[in-house]
Amino acid sequence: MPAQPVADTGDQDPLVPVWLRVVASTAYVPRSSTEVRALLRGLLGRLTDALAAEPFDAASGAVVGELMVDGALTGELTLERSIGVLADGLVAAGHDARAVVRLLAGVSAGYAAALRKRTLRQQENMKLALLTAKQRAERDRRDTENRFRGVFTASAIGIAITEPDGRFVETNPALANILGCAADELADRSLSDFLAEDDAEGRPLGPEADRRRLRRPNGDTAWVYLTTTMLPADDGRQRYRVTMVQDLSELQLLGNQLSHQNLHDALTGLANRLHFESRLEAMHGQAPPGGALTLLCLDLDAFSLVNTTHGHHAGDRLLQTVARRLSSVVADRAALVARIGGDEFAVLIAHGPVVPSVSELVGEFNAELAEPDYDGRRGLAVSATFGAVRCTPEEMSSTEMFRAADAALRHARSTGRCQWTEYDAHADRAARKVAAAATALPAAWENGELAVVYEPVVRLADRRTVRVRALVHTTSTRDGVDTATELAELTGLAVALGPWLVEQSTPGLPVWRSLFAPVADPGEAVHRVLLSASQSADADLSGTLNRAIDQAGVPAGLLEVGLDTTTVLARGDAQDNLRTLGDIGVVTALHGFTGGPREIALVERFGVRTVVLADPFEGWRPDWLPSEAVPVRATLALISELGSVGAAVGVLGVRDLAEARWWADQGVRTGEGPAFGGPGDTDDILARIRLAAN
Amino acid sequence: MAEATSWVPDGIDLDRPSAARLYDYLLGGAHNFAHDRELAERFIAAQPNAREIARHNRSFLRRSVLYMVEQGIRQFLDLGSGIPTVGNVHEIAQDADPLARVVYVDYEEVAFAHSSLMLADNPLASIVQADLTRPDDVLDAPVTRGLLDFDEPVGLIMAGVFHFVPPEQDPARIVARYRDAFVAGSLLAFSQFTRDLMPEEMDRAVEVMKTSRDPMYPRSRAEITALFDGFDLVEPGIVPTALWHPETGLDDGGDPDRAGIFAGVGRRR
Ligand SMILES: C[S@@+](CC[C@H](N)C(=O)[O-])C[C@H]1O[C@@H](n2cnc3c(N)ncnc32)[C@H](O)[C@@H]1O
Repeated sequence: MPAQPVADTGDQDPLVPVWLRVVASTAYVPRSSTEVRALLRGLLGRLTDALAAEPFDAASGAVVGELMVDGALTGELTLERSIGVLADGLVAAGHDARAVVRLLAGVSAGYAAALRKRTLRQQENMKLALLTAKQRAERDRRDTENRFRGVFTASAIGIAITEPDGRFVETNPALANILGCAADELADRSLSDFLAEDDAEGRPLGPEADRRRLRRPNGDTAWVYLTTTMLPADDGRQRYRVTMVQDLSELQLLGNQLSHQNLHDALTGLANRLHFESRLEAMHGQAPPGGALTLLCLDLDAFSLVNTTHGHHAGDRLLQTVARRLSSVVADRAALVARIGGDEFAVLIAHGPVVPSVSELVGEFNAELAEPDYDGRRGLAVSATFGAVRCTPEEMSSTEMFRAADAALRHARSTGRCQWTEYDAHADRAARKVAAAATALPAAWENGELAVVYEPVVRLADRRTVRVRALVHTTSTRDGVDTATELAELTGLAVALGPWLVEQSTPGLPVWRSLFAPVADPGEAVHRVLLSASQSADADLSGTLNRAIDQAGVPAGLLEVGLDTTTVLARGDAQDNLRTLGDIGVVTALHGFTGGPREIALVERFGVRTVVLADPFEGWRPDWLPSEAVPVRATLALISELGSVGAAVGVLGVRDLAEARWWADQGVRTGEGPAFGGPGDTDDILARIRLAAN
Repeated sequence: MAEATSWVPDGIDLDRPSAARLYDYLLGGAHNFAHDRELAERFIAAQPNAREIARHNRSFLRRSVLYMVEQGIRQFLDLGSGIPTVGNVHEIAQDADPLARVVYVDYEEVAFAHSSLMLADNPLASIVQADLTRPDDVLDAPVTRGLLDFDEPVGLIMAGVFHFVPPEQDPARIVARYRDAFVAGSLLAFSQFTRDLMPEEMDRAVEVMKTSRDPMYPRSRAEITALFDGFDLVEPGIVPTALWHPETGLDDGGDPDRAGIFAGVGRRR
């Protein structure tokens, strides 16, 4: 509080400009010269009043000292020089010198006390500020550590942190898996304990990346690829080694049932994958110009079922039978049969003048496989799915052929059992794009190429934006907007992507609040996140949300979090999450909602506030469907049912305003989709809303 | 030396004094530690005018903000804002117009922690902890996006801070990045140390600051003028802080050339 001038004694006291000059040259006073002059005039008035008072009023001195501190007249030399000019000036003006001295001593004392108080207050403030900062830093450090922990434990690659002498300090579950040990059996051991005795002539493990062979306690061997980096300690010395262990055996991919079989395929006697690839290359090179080659890749349907129901022994026997039969079908042709994976085989045929159609060939193989195989106790028959490619050597390289047949197989498998597909360049491109995007995601994540974008959520009744939904966008591929999380689900990245999305997007909460709170209905969220299946069951979800809300410093009710309905139905941990979300005060939602009785029961039981419908008309425009069509009637019934249990209904993918109007008429509360501009970054959204407001 | 320090965050290195805390000390604040004060005393020994220089710089900041307000600016981005002492930008601006908005930026922990605390209840002012030499970090921060309207002119403040930006960081590029982020009519208030005014003292001060976490790089008038590329300098151009739109009646009678710092304001074309 700046001092109020008391009586304005004889306006032009000549002391004021002198004192002002002292102040201006010694202190930074954040005020205009008029204000500073008025302040000084007031203080001087108090001093002259005190000197004039009967009896002389010594206490006023201390007050003036305090007011000087309040007014920031606190430069290093301000007090000393002020006292100097005041003493001279007041005595010269005829005041009693002894009274002046006593009064100014009071000024000094009051000034000193106030200054000390101000210093203590500032240090107190600093302490508080720093404590807050410390807590923040610790929380950040814990978060980083948790994230690292997550990667460490979820990684499919074995990771060992070791002493420089190789003894394990810490290992992840994948490593225990690769070494075929329980995690606690690894204490005090080192990777070299696991080297197979015939590995690399006993060469010790070195710092270079290396391919080595390990032996597990049960006697199996496995090829692994090792990469080692040094981890410096705080003092910069190399303290720990980190070794990444990648299991090279493909059997590992097929699960443990097959893990006892080695790469050389002693089981079937067929060529293995490596051998097959080199033979394919050779046959490809030797084929006469224009000579057709057919490559079939096949895998057995439900083979793991044979293993689990009849035992590995029966499985092995079956694989041998399949190998024999495949070979017999091509016995009198120029052909090569190989086992290229656990239950995957490949057949390469170089055709003579007569070329049977692919479907005839597949028919022959399937007929042979369908014959039950008796081992004396039971008969086992299998079917297989085939992918085929047929071309001349000029059309494709051998590697392309192998890849094409494999792609065709995957395509066939994705469409159903007992099928075959011939390579189709178009379908392959689409599948390849998804796979490439999925495998590129973890890298994109690490390189910071993932960004958050926002999709406006619109209240259908008046078509005003009342919320945004945050979603992940990969900056490297423009068309990845909505699919990033789906892809992440494929690569297992989704669990990490969920918290990331929450953390990245929630700092914007205050912005959205200022924008939407005035228009939204009371109690509505301003920010929506819809989580994928694995994210919905993430055990740390509530922790993530709590931290994010805490950090954003806003009420939890501004955030709406939608869990995947199917996952919540199927998994207890997802139900726990749904319950906790409600407890935290987050607005709960379910998405991918199709409306079965169990789903509606969930809504009621957990008091779910918003239900986002899965596309009920499978891509059809609802406003073009006849109103008596069964799906329409069922959907309307569902909407009213949800209304009766108190849930607001939302829809996604609204194409245009006609469709928006249709949903609005049916009582649906909110919509997202191209009709409302689709996703954009924060700026986009702000600009759109500003535009709409004008 | 005997300060109890258990409440000091790990990130804050008490043994490495910071410019923010030194400046606070020069202005009479208590938000500093023994090592900062020790550095400040050495700074004062090297440059006996240090307190006056700080005071003049702070006054320039105030006058430039008032000037911007007069020119119709209602939103400010204050880069290298420091520890809130007396006369902070939001106080000056909101005193003139309570709806003025201010985003502070500083990378120093005490400055950030303290500003956060002070601004907790001020919906129109906030601080971003970021390195101003990474303009995208500053410009893309949600706080910046939320508080500033990029379609309206902005008052850009770089007071007493660019002498901490080394030439390798290409200060011209940094200023240009901020310039390009804002619309024509935005104003830039800039001040920084120079050797042109008191070369010996400046050299000694640079030497002293080498041990802090914020070494200093003085610039000549020509170098500073070049940073205003794309701006039209407002009268009187680049001058000692004390001479930039001085306030009548607060003249301390000192030699303006002893203000140690050049200052200027420019209007984005
Ligand atoms: C001398 S103070 C200036 C304070 C205020 N602008 C003034 O003029 O009164 C400089 C401030 O800039 C900060 N600073 C220096 N380099 C910085 C950088 N690269 N990014 C952010 N802040 C920086 C320091 O932490 C310090 O608080």
